[in-house]
Parts: sequence; C-alpha cells; structure tokens
Amino acid sequence: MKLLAVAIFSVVLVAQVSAQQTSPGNVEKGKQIFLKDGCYSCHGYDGHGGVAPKLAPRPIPTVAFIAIVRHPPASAMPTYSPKVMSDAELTDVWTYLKSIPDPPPVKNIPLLNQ
Amino acid sequence: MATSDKSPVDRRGFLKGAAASAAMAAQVPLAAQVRSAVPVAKPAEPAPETTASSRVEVLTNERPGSDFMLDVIKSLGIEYATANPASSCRALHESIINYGGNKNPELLTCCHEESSVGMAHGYAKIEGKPIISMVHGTVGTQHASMAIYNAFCDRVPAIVILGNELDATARRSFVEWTHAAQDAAVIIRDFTKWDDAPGSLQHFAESFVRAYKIAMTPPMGPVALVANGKLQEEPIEESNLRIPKLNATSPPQGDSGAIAEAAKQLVNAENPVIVAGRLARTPNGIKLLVELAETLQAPVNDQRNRMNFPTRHPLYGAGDIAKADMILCLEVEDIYMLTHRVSPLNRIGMDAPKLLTKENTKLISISSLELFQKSNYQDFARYNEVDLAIAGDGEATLPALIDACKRLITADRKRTLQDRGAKLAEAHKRMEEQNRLQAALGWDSSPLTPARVSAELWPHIKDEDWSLVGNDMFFSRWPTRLWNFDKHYQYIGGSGGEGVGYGAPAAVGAALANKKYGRFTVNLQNDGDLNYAPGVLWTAVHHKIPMLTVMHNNRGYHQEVMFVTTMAARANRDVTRAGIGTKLTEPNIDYATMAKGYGMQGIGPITDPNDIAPALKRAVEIVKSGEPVLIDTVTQGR
Repeated sequence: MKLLAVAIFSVVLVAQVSAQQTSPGNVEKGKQIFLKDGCYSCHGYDGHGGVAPKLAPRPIPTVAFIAIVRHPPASAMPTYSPKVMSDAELTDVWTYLKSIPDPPPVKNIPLLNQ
Repeated sequence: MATSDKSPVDRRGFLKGAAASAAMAAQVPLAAQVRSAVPVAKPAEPAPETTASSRVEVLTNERPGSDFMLDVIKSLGIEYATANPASSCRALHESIINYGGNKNPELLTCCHEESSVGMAHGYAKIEGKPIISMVHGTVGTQHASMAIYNAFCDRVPAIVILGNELDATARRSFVEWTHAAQDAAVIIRDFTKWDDAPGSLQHFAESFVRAYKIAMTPPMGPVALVANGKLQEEPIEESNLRIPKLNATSPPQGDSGAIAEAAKQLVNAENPVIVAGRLARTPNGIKLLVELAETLQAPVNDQRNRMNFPTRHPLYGAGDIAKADMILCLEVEDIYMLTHRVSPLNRIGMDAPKLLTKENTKLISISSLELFQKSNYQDFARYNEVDLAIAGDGEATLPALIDACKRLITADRKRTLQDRGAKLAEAHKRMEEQNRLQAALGWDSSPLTPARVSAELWPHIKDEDWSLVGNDMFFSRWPTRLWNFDKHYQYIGGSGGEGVGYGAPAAVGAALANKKYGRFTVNLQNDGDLNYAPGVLWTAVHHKIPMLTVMHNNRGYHQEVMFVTTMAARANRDVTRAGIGTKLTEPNIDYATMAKGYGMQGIGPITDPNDIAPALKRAVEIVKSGEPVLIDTVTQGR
C-alpha cells in the first residue's frame, strides 16, 4: 500500500515537472551550474560518480532526473528545491550530462586489465 | 648543595669519569635481549666529608636519573623515540643521545607533538609494538592530544612520556611554572588506557613495564607516563634499582562454551556473513580469517580498519547483509551502524532507524572491546544488541572457533558449503568487473579521478614488496578495489578517531617501520591533512625514510564542501557559497614546492592524466635510492 502511494506520487510529480519543461537545455550553462552548485562534489566533475552514483554518460530521462533532485531518496543527496535550482537550470545540467561521451571500453585500457 | 674537595676543572678526573661512564653504558644489559629482571644503574658516589675551606660546588652529574629511565626503556626493545624537543624532557633527551648512543631508541626529530604521536601510531600498526613519544608537559601534551585520541580510537599501542616538574621549588623560570601541572596526564586520561606519575626511579621502572604491558594487551591503546623533571635530572640516589621483567599478557580468548555455540550457529547458517573490523593484529590474523572463511565458505566484508583479508580472494567482499541469516562480527566496533540506517542528512529530524538485516538475522560478536570501555568520549557507539556476545580478542579466539566449526561439518554439509562458495566466487568476479567498469568512467578527466591515479600507481608497485600506509577511504577505496592486497603490512587502515592530521605523520611512522625490511612504502596523502603539520615531511627527509607520497589534492576540506552544500540546500539558500571556509584555493597550494622547502623532492602539480605515469616512474627511482618523494596530483573530490 505504501509502495503504491509512493508510485502514484512519483507519477504525478514527474507529470508536473514534465509539464513545466518547455525548452531544451544549454550544455555550457549546464556545466557551469553543475560545478558551481556543488553537484560535482559528490558525482564527480564529469558526473562519473564518486561518493554518489554516476550521472553520466547516458543520464536517466530529464523528468526522472528533476524529480529525484526535488525529492531524493533518503541519502546524503541534498534536496534542491526550485528556490535553489530552477527546472530550467536542472534541464541545463541534464543537457550537460547528456553531452558527456562514453568512456573508453575497459578492454582498451591496459591499466584496468592487470 | 652538593660539594666535593676535588677541583671542578680536574681534566684527568673528568676523562677518567667519562671513560668509566662509557664503560658502564656499554655494560648495561638490554632486557630487550634477555627479557628478565635486571639490576642496573648504580647510585651516584656519595660526596666525602670535607672541611669548610675545601668545599667546592659539584657542577656535574655523571649519573642522572634519566640514565636509569633509559635503561628501562631499552630493556623493552624500544627502537625509536619521537620528540619535538621539550625542556621538561631535556635530561632524558640527553641520556638517549649520549648515554644510550642514540640507538634503540634512536631520537627522531619532530616538528610538532601531533606528528610525534602520529608517527608512533603508524609505526605500531606496521611493527606491532610501540615506540615512545616524549612530549613537553602541558603544552606538548595539548599538542599531542589529538594524535593520542586517534591512537586510542584505533586501538593502537603507544607510550607517551610527559615531562613535568612537579616540585614547585625546582621550577627555574616562569615558563616552567606555566608548563607544569599538578596532574599532567589528566587532559588525556579520557583516551588513554592507563597513566602514572612515578615518584621514584624504581617506581618509574615498574610503571614503564606495566605501561608497556597494558598498551600491548588487547584491546591495545596508548598509555602515558609522567617523567618528573627532578627525577630525570638529579643524581641516582636509590640503591638496588632493578628493572622488572615483562610478562606479556596472553590475549584473552573467548569462552569455550560460547565458541561451541557460535560454531554450531555458523555451520548451520544458510547465508552467513563475516565482518572484520580491527581483527588482524599480526600476519597470522589474516591466515586465520582465510581459514575460517574457507571452512564455512562464507563471505568476508572487511571494514578495512586493518588488513584482514586478501582483496582478490573469491570470498572477499561479496557478503550481502540484507540477505544474511547470520552475521559474525570480529572486532567490529559499531555493529549498530552496520545493521541499521539512521536518517540521512537530506531528511529533517531523526526517523526511527531502518533495520538493514532481516528481522530474524542472528548476530554474533567476538571482541576484546567487551572488556574495556571508557565513558566520556563516545567512540563506543550505540549499544550492540547481539544474540551472542563473546568477550575475547578476535584473532586469539579464531583458532578455537575454526576447530569447533571443522568438527561440526559433515561430508553432506561440506558439499552444500562448497556450492555456496562457488556462487560467492562468481559474485566476487562480478564485483571486480563492476569495479573496472566504474574505474573507466572519467578516465581522461581533469582533475584526475582517484580511480585513474590508483590504476596508474599499481603497475609501478605491484612487483615491489609494497606497503600502502595511507587510508584509501577518501580515495573512494580505489586501491582496495583495484590492487591485490594479501599481506599484513600492505594496509593499515585509518586514523581511528577521524581526527584530521593523522595521515602524514602516521605514514612517515609506518614507512620508518617498513624501512628495515626494505619495503616500498606508498602514501596517499590528503591535502587538508598535510596542512596540519607538514613539518613531518622534513622529518622523513632528515631521517632518510624512503616513501612515495601521492597527494590527493582536491584543493579543499572536501567532506565539508559536501556538508555545507547540503546545509545550504536544506535551508533553500545559496549553494554556490559552500566553498567559503572549505576550499583551499586562491591561491592553490603548491605541494611539490612545499616538499622542496622541506628538502624533499617534489613533482607536480599534475593535472593531465597522461603526465601521471612519467612522474611515477621518476618517483619510484627516487624512493629506490632511499629518499622520500612527493607527487602532487590534483584530484577530484573523491
């Protein structure tokens, strides 16, 4: 029952965020925000992860991304409300994360194969 | 005032006395070798009766009390004395360098008392025994206190000698008043296992041997002994001085009935997990844990407070607490946090803690901490609500537990356990593969990822007899995740008390212990930590302690960057200001230049990942030539 309530809440939330999203983000602005607002400190400069999970490459869909930032699961992840980061800023951040390319395959990195 | 009828400038007599003194020094038996009660240090010759006209002041004392104190220290095979020179330890200092020939112990010059005790901390974790740290009463003790607290929380033996002038009439200046105390050890009493302030030399002998014994008995810890100034400096007047023999206390072993019960539950468990805290005190601790894990085919989650279990062993690291029906905690301090999740920082207020195990999961604890706790500082954590609490040293108890388990395992049960082991080995392989995939992320990033730095380091050390002496927790455990750790000295855990400033001195102390074995010492050095007392770099150079220091230079107190960001977000305020008071930028600190300033070779700063390998190649050659070197790698937060 509790799980069902959480699921419904998430769907509503994602729908709300989705409705607010109107324009695609800007990679450069997103990178600046990612670094300035402290995202990098837990997720790494390239969103590759650190003390917190990786965000890039291939970030989760924008709406889910924003929903998690607004209502993170119980963890060390701060809750960033719209007063701290707007949806537009988060969209820029997501766009930056989306622009980060895949790393080289492990098999092509000799240092990781010894 | 002492008097003599001899001329104070009788050169022949002086030389004769010096020769006799040297001969006496050479004859002093080292109880480190004989380990038995030894009568030593004779009292000073009494002054003959004289007439008033021939009275001459005696201005020298060739047998100060500190010589006997040194006899006692030598008797226990103490290899080093770390010290920032302290006037209240001046006589003992002089005895070490002259009477004792500056050998066993050798005096190591430190630039801060926190460095002195921090070095002792690192040394003890490699060598398994303490050295002494001489600190000035009051002010030196205050400087040393953080390092003593770290050693206490990390259950590491250290012997701190506090200089103090207890007799008010013997204080020779106002400074000696401000540095004296009625009870010199009181400020560290909450985090030492024992202390004493001997009132005589014989009392010092007994208390030093007792202090050593207490420090070395699990749970180990720091002890303190006050060396009274007058006792050190005045002539030996006590007769029949003797050094008591050391009878090392056998580590306590768990109760046999409780061990039998634990074995029964472990053998019958379907999904047991072994968690190792500060378990392996000696190399044998690793062998025993491997034997237990293989006997039970149970996974081992190593908390990395010590080198407990080989990282590439198929049973390493794949234990799932959530699925476990039985958890065996070996010298685990905080079982509550292992089995519960409390409200994280992104929640307002404290909700009821969430149980991370199944409701019916059984918990067994074997720990020497059951036998010793103090009350003021809260390092004992929450009450450990376990099903079977066995008071005893983990390593000492393992042989009996292994035997008991082996006796209970039938042929059928053995086949079942082997099937479980095969699955765990697969899980271990998947974990290693996952680590490699994660290490590749951000591979070419700048600042450098800790994963890239760790991966670059490995080929340079893997064929050496290496020892990592820095805590890799702040490096997101990348060395643990990528390197093959299988020897006791290859990892020594962290500070214990999480007091910043431990890293650099502990690394130098550990490197010192490694030196005589010809090991290649590597330190991962946090930038914030090094800035507490960087003078220890000079100590490493001055005493020719070879080691490779690789900076984790994330240019800030990164944990606090994250905390302040979270607080700002919680308050709906400006998160961009979290760097104020937490960042070490503007200017960036140039650690290679800092190292050079202390006489150490410095390389960097390195920001391009492609520059790491050539720098490491050069640095390895320097270390192999017997010198310390520092590479400044500019890194990501974690």
